[in-house]
Amino acid sequence: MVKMPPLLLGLTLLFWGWEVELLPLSAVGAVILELPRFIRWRWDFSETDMNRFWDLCYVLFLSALAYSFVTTDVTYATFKFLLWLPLIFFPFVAATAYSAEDCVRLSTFSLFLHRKGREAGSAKPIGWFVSYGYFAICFIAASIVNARDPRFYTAVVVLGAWLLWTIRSRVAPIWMWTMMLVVVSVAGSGGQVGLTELQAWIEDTASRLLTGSDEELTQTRTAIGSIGQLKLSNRIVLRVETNSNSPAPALLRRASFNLYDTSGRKATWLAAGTQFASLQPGPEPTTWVLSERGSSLAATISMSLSRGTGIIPVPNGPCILEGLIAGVVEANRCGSVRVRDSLPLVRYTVKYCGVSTLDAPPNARDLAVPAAEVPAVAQITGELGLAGQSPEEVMRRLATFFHGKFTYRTHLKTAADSSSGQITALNRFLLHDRAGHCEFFATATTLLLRQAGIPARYATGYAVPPKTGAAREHLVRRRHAHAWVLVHVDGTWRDFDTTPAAWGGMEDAEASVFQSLGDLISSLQYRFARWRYYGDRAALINALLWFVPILMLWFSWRLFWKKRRVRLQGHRQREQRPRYAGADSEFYLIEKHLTQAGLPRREGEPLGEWLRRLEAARRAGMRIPSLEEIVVLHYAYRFDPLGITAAQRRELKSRAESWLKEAAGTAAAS
Amino acid sequence: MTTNHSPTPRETYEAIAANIEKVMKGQAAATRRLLAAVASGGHVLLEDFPGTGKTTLAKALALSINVQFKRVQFTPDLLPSDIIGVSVFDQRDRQFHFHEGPVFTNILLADEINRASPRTQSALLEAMAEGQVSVEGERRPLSELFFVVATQNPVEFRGTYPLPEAQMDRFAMQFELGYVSAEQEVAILTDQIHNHPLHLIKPCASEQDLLRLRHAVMEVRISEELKRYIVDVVAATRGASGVQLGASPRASLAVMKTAQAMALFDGSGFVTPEHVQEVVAPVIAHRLVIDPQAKFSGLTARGVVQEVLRRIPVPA
Repeated sequence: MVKMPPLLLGLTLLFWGWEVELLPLSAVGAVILELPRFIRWRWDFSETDMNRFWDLCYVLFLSALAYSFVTTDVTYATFKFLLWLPLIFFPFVAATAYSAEDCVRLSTFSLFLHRKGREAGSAKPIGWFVSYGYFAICFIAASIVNARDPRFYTAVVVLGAWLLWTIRSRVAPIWMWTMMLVVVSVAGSGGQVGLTELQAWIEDTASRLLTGSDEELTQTRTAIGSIGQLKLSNRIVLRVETNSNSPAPALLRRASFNLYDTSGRKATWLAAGTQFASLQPGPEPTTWVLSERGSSLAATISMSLSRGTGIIPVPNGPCILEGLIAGVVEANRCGSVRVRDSLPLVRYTVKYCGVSTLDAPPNARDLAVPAAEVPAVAQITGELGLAGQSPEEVMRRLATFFHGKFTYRTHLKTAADSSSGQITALNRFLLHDRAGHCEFFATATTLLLRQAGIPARYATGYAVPPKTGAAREHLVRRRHAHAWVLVHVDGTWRDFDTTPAAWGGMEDAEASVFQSLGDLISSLQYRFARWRYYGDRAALINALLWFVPILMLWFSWRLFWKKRRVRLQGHRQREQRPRYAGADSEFYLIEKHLTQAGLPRREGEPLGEWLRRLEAARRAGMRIPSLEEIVVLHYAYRFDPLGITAAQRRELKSRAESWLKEAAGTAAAS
Repeated sequence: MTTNHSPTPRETYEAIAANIEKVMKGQAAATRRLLAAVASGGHVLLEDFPGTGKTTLAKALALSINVQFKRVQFTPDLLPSDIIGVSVFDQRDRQFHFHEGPVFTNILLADEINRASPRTQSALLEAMAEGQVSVEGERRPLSELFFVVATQNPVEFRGTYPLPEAQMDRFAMQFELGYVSAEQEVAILTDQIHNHPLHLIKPCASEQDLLRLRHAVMEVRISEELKRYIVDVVAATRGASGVQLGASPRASLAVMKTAQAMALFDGSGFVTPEHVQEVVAPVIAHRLVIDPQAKFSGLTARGVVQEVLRRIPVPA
């Protein structure tokens, strides 16, 4: 098989780097891949070593696959993952490039065949295939970026044409090859544009048919009334950093709700007035002012945001968002802040004052208690004597009530446990079970406050846990998702959380043993994303500095133990065969000429058979001068132990030369 | 044929080939192989379905050469002594006399050889390999021109015993005849309307002519490089996947000798790679023992040989 033309693989890798914006990294890779063409030393790799290299890439491949599925939106995982393929397979390709002998076999690529390959012994080496495969991988990965850019297509056509040029059929004329290439690339370009149009049309139609993605804000489905264990993952969703003089916010809100709907199978909190209004950037393009109120507290929050669009959680009373790179930042009257056209990792410093700045003032909805819940709520209100008390007193009594008499648990009892089928879940929580999770506490508190005449809302978001160990950040996991109450006191909305404080500890206890491993991976991803999107090199290097050496040490130990570098020349220990007679025959020039013309002789094909094939090509219209007499002389020269006379030797030479002249003449004529 | 004009070895070949062609229509390649084996001193095993002309080809060869010809029809109850001969007690002179079996001849046609038991088949081993038989402790040489043409039906047929590997290895060549084209089959019908053309065949070569042909074959030159190529090809069959038993050095020898014969038939004084490749399959394939599992998945000895030929770079 034809070897890859020089520099093509390196350029393809550069092309990938250019597309994924990792040009420096890919430049290093390209140099590594192309260097063997200019230097003479190689590694003395064996077949087993290549198997190990492949196994390493395989492990990287599987880890990357698993990792991207664990940490990313499933639909995006595949794409993200494909993007990194050139990096994953680089060790293997580089090893092939620096190997003294081509010892890649088909068996290398399969764990199952590793063993079998050893038994069978000598399968054909297929090292050439690796560069072609890698070429394709780089292409696929570069295309994942999906740059709608004519430069991308041009580069694809140029690189593809370059490769195809080297393996084109020598039988067809060059103009025909060029014409076919032009036809194919124009058709491809047309198809690409058409596909883009089609996609735009489908997306447009689909978005009109489907409801908007803000649904989450207008309502939130609670688990109140559902049965079984609440299962929440340990995935880290937020990282909160604070400077030394500012405490971390206890609660980060995503949205608030004012209407409790018990009509459905599951109770639902609804919100009115969720229209977003977009903000103008402040003095700097990354500063967004939400409120003019003076702020004394600050926290820096990082979260990953697929597609760069979504709700970002903020502490109560956000005033200024700093360092937030986004096209659009919007806020609504429920206290939600939404960004659009941001980076996959958003990182912002929020300055806040602890009292509401965005929320709409209270109205009649904030005092409504659904009829179904009134009996229980009224009973508790009566027991606690909340009516007519000051808001502070009500809040104090409620806090004491919940902390003292209720327990936190994520396990929800079955409906069969309840004595009567008609009482609501909240009713059972307040009067019978006195145990539940945060949604129960928040909902119950909201309704009790309302019953006592104090406007209250239901808020959702995250509770920020204390720092653990030597961590520099508060790690907010998915299981820290929380619900609490917004209570209107002194003309402003304040956070009020009645869930027993034990809940955080309880959930920590249930954390999986794999959490630390997951955190490590998550941390690496986070550092990498910070480096990638915010140029924060130190963050990535810190993470890699101690992770990479471990991996490298292990691998080197396995691979290079007792291995030595060899020079390409001195090493070849191939069986030296004696030089046979007639190696200087001019016939070999003819063979070379015909090989270049696209009619090579196969390995096990004797000349007689080859001549018959040439005859067939001649009948098909190729102009090949007759070779019969030359072959007869050549054969005598090569295989007759008596040799040929000097006159015959001269004849062979002159005949071969005139043949070459004639062939060159016909080639020029055609 | 007069004594003062002795034909050249190549003329002998052409005369015999033309003679056989009268009977065997459209089997020029098979004839060429058969004669290559005869000329290089090897024995031939013809394997094909019944009625394809194996026996006719063997008889045509025997009748074309003016030498002693015997035929043994192998049957399941045939005994080794039926082939080699037996000592019989003579009542008159009160002594044992050895009665030579059919093996004491120049051309022996062992028809349907795989119908006899392996015991009887093995009786031929010594005769074929060494040109002699040992009976009752006495070594009895066969004539200088001793040539066995055996025919057999495919092994899977009913009432057959497969030949032992050692016996297979004694045959220089094994090949099939195959069915001829429709036109040639029509010609066969036409020829045999009145009588079998075999009856019309007259000998066209003497024992001396044949021995001269054999000596001429030995004189054909072969380069070191081609000897090495032969060895490489044969050695490659030993390591090929799916092969239990590869070809022996005896196979290398047979390839060289038959390739020399082919070169002589072509009027060439030396062997070319084409001659080697031409004989490799019929000389080597029958000696390979294919792994039963590989055989079950469709691997054939012929296929192994073709693959080896394709893989080993041929000198050119």
